[in-house]
Amino acid sequence: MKKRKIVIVEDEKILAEMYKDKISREGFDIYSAIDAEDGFKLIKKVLPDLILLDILLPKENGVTLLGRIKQEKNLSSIPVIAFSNYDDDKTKKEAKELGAKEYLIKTNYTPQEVVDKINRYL
Amino acid sequence: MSFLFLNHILVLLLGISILFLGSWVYYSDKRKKQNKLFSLFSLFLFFWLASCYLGSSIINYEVSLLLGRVAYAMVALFFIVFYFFSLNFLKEEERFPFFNKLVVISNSLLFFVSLFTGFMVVAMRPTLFGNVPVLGKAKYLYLSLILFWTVFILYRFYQNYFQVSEKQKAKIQYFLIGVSIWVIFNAVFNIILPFWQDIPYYWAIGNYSAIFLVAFTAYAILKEKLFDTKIVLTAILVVLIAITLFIDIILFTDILWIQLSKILSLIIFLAFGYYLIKSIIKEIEQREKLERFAKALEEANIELRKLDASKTEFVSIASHQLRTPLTAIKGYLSMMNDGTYGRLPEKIKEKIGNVFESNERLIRLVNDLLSVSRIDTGKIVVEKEKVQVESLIENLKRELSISAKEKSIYLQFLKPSKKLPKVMADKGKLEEAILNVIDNAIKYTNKGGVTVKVEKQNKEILISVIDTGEGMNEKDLSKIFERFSRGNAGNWLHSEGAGLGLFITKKFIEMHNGKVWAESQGEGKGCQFYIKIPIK
Repeated sequence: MKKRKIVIVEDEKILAEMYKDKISREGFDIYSAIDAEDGFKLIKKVLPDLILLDILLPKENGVTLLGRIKQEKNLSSIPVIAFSNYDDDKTKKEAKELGAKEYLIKTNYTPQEVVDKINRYL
Repeated sequence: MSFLFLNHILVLLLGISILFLGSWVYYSDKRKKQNKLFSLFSLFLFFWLASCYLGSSIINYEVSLLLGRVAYAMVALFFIVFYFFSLNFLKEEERFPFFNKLVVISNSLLFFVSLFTGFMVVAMRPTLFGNVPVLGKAKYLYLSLILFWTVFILYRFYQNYFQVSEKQKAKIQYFLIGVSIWVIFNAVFNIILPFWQDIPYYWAIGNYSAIFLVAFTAYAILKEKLFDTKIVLTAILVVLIAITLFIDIILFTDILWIQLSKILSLIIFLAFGYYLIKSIIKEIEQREKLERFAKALEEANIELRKLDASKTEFVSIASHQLRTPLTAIKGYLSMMNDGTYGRLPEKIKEKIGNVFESNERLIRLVNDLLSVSRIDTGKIVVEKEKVQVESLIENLKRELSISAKEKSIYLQFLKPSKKLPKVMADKGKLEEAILNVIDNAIKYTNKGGVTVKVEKQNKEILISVIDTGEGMNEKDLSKIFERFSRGNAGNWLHSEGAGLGLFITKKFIEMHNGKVWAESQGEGKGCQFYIKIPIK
């Protein structure tokens, strides 16, 4: 069976490695990018089944990237989970309005719980 | 009453007013150079006026000629002081060293030529309107220089007007009004009419317009200190009435005892006038003080808002930065414990569990601090949706069962027999509010357990959390929903909480127009927490 593809856009190296480690052990193909521009190019190239998107990214933030993803015809249907430690109501609302399935605060979820969320939306 | 008599009165009034204003400005602050320069040019203006008036009215030809020459000499000196006063007013004294020297040299030359030679005032010609000067060969040089300095001064003021603060702009405006009126009058009556129309008779009118220059400039200088139009007008009125009374006593009262009684009336009037001006000054001082306080308050408020915004941004970013390592610790510990990296010996698993719990405590503290910060700054956004309260509580019971089980206490949820209506609420915040209360109840119960109930009461939903725990005294009950409050039991039983959970609960419930309160029969007798929220 073909492996499901997950793209994670995360600028914190330690967290990116942790999630990549966990998610790949759960049987997914995981790809990562460290900023919005690289993330967008990677998503267009890989066409993942789900995107884990950090919000506080260097240069361009995750909400703007989410907007760009949703405007692309072939990318707009990919489920996106906004995934950040930036707990701001306004940002959460913006992300939800742009179509994010959820806005998770990273510290509130173990990697296993994140995988459970991924499985829920696939 | 003849024109000449009116002229006498007018000149007297103008002279007194100019000297009065010059003295007033000088004595309001003797140390200020600007005030000294103003007083000096007022003095030269007075001499200019006086010599014009006397020159035009004295019958003795030689004296009239001398006074005519003195008048033009005074103009030259006046312009030197007026130049330095203007640059001082605009804080540009050091800016034009060449012109500073030039004005002294050129106008000193004009002074000597006017006073000691016949090149400026050749003769005095008697007319119906008094003696008028016949001007000599130096008149065009004289006029050019005076015009040059006038234009230069006006140009400096107009240029500065667009570059200075609002307060300074107001000062310059008053000065410009006074100078403009004075320049226009002088241009018409002292230049255009005599030079081009050969009508020199009205030269005095141009000179008299100096009162506008002096009055507006005095106002510009003094306004910022404590003076207002009200005071200036009141003072002018008092002075005018006093002068009128004085003239009446001197010129129109012959009988001695009537003179004495009028003098007494004048003295009493002056005393009342003084106290009237003093009380207006006090009233204006108070008003200006209040305005200054209001302005300072407004500025402090703006500063506080900026600090508040910085604080919020700082807390948001600090929380984000704190959470990153906590996320990594939580993540790797949970992966170690769930066997992702292989099976661990029980002892190590137990210790990792302890570290995990400590980390969770830290996470909760950061979450609570961030919530409190957002509550304080009003940055919380309440996103309402229809929420089934029973489902919410079921989820919380599942989540908190582990904590209850670890303490060997029960956690039960008494569901209502009939499904309750959904409430319009922010699901996340309502969940957090109820979680804090149940979690608190578990924390402070060592025997027995915690019972959660939910029911409909009229148009509200009532959630009750009843525990068999440590209970609280009256004092603790009154403070339990304040931030950082843990009550007596909290201080020795549970040092881990920061005392923010119930504070956050209260704020979140209040954002839903609800109410939260606690009751207890005393220490050792358990607690009952109640949350009421409107259905719509």
